[in-house]
Amino acid sequence: MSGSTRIGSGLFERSGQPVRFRFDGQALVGREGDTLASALLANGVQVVGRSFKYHRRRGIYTAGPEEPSALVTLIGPYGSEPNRLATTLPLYEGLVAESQNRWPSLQFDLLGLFGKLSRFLPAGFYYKTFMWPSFAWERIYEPLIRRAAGLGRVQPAPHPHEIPAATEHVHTDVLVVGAGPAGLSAAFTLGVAGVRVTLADQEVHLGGGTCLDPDWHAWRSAMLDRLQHMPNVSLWPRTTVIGAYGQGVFGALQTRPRELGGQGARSPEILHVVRTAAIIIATGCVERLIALPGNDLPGVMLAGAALRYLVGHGISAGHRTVVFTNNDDAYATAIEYARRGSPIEAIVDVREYSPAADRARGAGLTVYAGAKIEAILGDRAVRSVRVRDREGQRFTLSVDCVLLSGGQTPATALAAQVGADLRWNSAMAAYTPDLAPATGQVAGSAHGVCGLAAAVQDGVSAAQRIAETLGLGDLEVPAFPSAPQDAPRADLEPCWEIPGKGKAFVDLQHDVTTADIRLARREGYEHVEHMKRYTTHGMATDQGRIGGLVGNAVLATARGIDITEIGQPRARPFLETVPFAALAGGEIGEHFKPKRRLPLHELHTRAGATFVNAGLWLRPLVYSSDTSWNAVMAEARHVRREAGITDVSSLGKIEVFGSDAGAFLDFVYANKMSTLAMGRCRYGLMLREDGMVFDDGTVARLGKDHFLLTTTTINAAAVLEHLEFHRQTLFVGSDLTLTDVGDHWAQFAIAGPLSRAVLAEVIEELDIANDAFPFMAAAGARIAGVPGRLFRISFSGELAYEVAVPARYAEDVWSRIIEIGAPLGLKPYGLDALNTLRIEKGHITGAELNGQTSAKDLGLGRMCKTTSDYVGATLRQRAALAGNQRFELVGVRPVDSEQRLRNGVHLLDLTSPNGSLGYVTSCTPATEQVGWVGLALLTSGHARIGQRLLATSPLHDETYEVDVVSPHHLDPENSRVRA
Amino acid sequence: MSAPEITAPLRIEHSTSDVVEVTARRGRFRDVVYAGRARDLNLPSLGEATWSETYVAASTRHERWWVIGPALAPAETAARIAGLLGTGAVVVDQSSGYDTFDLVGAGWRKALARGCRLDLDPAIFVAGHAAATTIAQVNVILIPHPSGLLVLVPSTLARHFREWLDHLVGDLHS
Repeated sequence: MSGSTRIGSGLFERSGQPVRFRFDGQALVGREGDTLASALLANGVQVVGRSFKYHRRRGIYTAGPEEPSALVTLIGPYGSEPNRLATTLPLYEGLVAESQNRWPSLQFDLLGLFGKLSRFLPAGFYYKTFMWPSFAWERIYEPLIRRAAGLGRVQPAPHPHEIPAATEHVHTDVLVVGAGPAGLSAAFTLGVAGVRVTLADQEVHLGGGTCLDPDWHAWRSAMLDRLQHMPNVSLWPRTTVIGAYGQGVFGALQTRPRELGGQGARSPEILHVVRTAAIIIATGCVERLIALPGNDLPGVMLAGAALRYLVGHGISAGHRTVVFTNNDDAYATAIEYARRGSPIEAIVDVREYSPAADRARGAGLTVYAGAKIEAILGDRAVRSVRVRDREGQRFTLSVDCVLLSGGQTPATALAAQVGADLRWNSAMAAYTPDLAPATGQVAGSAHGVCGLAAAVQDGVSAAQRIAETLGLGDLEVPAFPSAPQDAPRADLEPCWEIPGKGKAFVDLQHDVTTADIRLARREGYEHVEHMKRYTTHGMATDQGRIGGLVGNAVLATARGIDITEIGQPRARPFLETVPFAALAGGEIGEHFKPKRRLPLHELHTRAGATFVNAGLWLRPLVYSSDTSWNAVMAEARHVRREAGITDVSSLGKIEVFGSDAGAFLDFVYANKMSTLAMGRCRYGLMLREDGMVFDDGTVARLGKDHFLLTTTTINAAAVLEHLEFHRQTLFVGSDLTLTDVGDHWAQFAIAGPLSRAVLAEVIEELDIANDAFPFMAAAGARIAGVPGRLFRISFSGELAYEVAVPARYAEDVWSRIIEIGAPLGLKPYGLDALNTLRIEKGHITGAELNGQTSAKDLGLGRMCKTTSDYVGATLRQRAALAGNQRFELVGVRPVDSEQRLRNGVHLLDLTSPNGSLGYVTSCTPATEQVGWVGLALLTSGHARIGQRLLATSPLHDETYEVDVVSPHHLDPENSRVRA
Repeated sequence: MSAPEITAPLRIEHSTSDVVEVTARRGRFRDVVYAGRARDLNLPSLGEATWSETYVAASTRHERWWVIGPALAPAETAARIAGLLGTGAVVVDQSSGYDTFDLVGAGWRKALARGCRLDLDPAIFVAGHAAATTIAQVNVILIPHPSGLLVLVPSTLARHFREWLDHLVGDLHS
């Protein structure tokens, strides 16, 4: 076929204005309102892609999302996007698209060699080949397969999308899926009654089958006009409901036309998350192919698609066309073609009689009844067909276009996802869904109803049943625009396959043939789900919409059973290809996850801090752009020698109030809290039910019935949830209140020998001398003029305090402390220095609180109560945790002080270094000693203190000796913190 | 043809207010509500909000309330509320814990639908209601009022939320 096939104007044209675009480098012109597919057809482009496996030439087969062949790569300003369907891609000025799955070009594809070797590449060939020689797998086979596999190539975008996809949450009373006659009438009936209705349809032009019948155009226009003026009805064109997710939640992908938003200025896609009280599924039908030799040649198209291109765009699919059908629908195409002057060579109908054939003959068309096309012939495209008439005579028709129609298959996937039973409908030779009324309604041709007028009536009935389900009573039928009656119809005659010599495809995108289906059965894959996976039938991006049932019928025939017994593969989301960008929505780049900023984030930035991600938090790692150990150790040593201040605002903080607070804390902590005196703090250890350590922190008693808990940064939310769970289940009716105050209070640790001298300058109304405010004391105080709290607790092993003030005043207070403290030697220190200090002191953090360690493992077993119950009390005593063969916390030091320790190095027995005895969890250069120190989890670690082991890091090719020591590398007597 | 796009202006005001979290102690719910009512602080039922000249009160948890008022000296609002409600209430100052955003303009409903799972239909979620939900992965409190929406956002996530809002508004108005 060559030359333009546009023979007039179409319903979907807006202005007839020319639109310039490029395909495979060729400059072409379409019209406003075209899809890329219609524009290519209009320009006489017959081959648009190559098939997945055999690289066969393929043309445009359908006019919608069911398209198996016309997949292109769209080249845009943000990179290329493969696998866009030409049949749904609206044409816009400057569009650039390329064919895919070919090399070097569409017309001359070297990988077309696979087609010549197809007899060696049947379904499942890859399960039986590439076995030998074994070395060839990695060196030859896999690289080759990887190069040949896949459809299209993702090209990295030179810069990310400035306008990402969007997510939108939508609530509605009734979601109507499909805006054909049934969907429109259902939405109208409900809309008139004031129900909130959302009507979604995958097409740009709403109306479904009414778009294709000129007699229905007036009805369609009137309906759309009325619906558009209803404030309670939302119309969503270009929107595919992609999945059902239970409880009335559905996903719907809406693609936004560029022509409305300019060149990508708006989000290209919106993923609607729809919550609806009820659903009406009016998803219509998909026309199916007939499996016969040559049914994949360029020039073969489904008859309904050809009608859509003709009526919608004024485009004829060919210059000399033959129609092959087993049903009445294809006659509408043939008659309309003839009416518009596009030659129809013949209609070949497998049935002996139908009223439609009489109408066609009346229009001057040739109808071969009781006949069939045995093969479609041609090399690069359709050249002729071989027909066998009812008398068995064979003859050839010279044509360039074959329109196939094997019947209509109801689009049942969405209904199946919401729980519909699929029942065989003999009149359609297909499954139709049967949905429980409480779940929703199915209407129109998806429901097995034939004819546009019948579909309108079925839509009204569905709306009435839905209204009843929603408790809205009996809905009156509103006044509809007048509409034509349906013409008399004859049933179709099932025609799945015309056996013959040559490949007959049931899945065009994955190159699955009828022979592959039979092979699968011979190899034992008899169940439809097994056959699907063995052959990949229906697993391509088009999900086998046009050939799925045909393949199943071929399997049924091969098994010698009726098709009604073969079943259907289970439909799962998504019902259409969904770009990853649409799933990500706006949560990309900076918005991928929230960033929690400390109250003093800006101040730390100004102070030159380098930040590190700690969960969602951004925390100062070190106050320098130099993140080497030199900068870190300078900060840590300064704390040991003078004083430092660090921001610990990210700690979780929970206030507990009530007369039952003490008893509650006794239950959730392993150690006793109710005996804590007012104005005192205590280290607290929290276990999980299984006896493992969950979290640690401090508890301060601020009043008789008022406690303040701190948690680790990372576990703040989990601890609050843990506490709330126990409050709401085991302490029901107790006088107990939990309040998360983590964001309200900013908190700074001031540590080092000079910390008291610094604080004395800013603390008012409180004596902080050692006797008056000893280690583990807590009190309210004015700090730099702001009401706050002071705690004498230390994570560093030094004399230290933590001050807490409302975050709103944090910058003033921090700045004042720095201003006063700097002349005394106070400097800020970051998270790395804080870590160094705690490792030396032997304090544990996330590396040791890894969910697999018990209190005993960490040397904290003696803290746990023995006389009362608490979370984890029972299971911490199980035998498996009681032995001494578990990992236990120890300290380690390299024997060679020049040797660097590394996190994760394994510890081995010196004499028999065959298996790992444990590993280093945290390590750091020492601040006051020479060399490195670390903490480790070591099998029977407590008993090994004093031993010498091998440390090995295969990653760094290092092995050296370490001494096992106490985890308290510094000041084990706690004299510094109590100074 | 599709749902109406935003045309009404949407203004985002980020203000400093005092926020207090109030919880009725065991068995003291009625005492707290009556004490508040007697002193012109109407503590609403769950899912509702009340507005007075000085305070906005909203309830998004059982027997708990958020009270929002103008910014005063540190902890002063909490002290005043505690004084109003008596010993039956646990009053915790959260003024530094939450930032207050006021989304002004009719477009807020459509805008927030981009990230909010709640039904924001003007017939469903109206002035006098209150809800807790998650938007942009942040737990927030929503309190609609006749000219817009008050949003309480944890202060350490307020900048993230503001950036999300700004990005959203930019996209919607592009």
